[in-house]
Amino acid sequence: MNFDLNQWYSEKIDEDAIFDYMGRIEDEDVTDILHSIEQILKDRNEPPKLFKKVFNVLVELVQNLHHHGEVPSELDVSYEKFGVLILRDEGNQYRICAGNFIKIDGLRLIRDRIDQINTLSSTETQSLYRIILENDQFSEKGGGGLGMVDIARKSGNNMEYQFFQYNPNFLFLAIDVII
Amino acid sequence: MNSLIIEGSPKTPNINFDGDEGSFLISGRSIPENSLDFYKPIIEWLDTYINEPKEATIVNIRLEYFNTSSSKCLLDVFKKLEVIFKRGQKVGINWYYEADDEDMLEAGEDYQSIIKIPFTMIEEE
Repeated sequence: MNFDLNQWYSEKIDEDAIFDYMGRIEDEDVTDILHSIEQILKDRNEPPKLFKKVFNVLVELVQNLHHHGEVPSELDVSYEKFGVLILRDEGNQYRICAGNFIKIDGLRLIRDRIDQINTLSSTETQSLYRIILENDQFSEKGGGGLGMVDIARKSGNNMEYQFFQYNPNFLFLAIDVII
Repeated sequence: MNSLIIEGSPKTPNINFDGDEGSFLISGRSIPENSLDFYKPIIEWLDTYINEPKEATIVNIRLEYFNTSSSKCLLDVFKKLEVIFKRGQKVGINWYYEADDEDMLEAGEDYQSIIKIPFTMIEEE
């Protein structure tokens, strides 16, 4: 059975969800999302260290959605960048869930990348970050593969991920980061 | 030489590069989606500055947040200044971070490990 995005989304939005967004991720949407979340975190009076960690990871995740969030034709929308973002307060930790569609042929690259990063110790993550930073081969999108490494480094936790088959050409990728 | 001043925005930093004093400041947050576009005029300005730099150049980095897209651009800024440092001119980078913000301190140390210019890490309350 094909993946039902709306059902998946509604199941994620329980009482722990303190922010949720599903839709267009153009420049102005990124700005609005970050502004809203910053306000939510401010209102919760989180210690600056935790606040900055959560916000930093959110920035990378939202901008990942902006750069990589594909739109399958079945979505029937007029824009070209689509993503889902949910911030959950699970009591002793925050969980950020970011979801977007990817083309099936991109599966291996992303899966291998996350698996590789998840095996690294914090020192190895730092080393990998520096190697990529020093390497001049950055993409047009500017990230150069640093985003995922930065997320792992700042969160200090493994990224959890799931892929769901959406149609013959697209998968839905959901990444959870715990802080 | 002219100064380069760019007003900050919610996603881009304040830039105040005083070409006459050799005193450069990047402050605020640098989290634009496309950092290459934002930093392009800064790199171009530096290309001119390094042809006729001041005897001493001091760079103050007071960033609250920066994204990974900006991190490469910051490295490009430092690399431009490393050119004049390698020529024997005085260049220093003051890297400010808030007390407890280990991530920002570590980010400064990342650059310190790559760039030969002396860094001074300055903790602020």
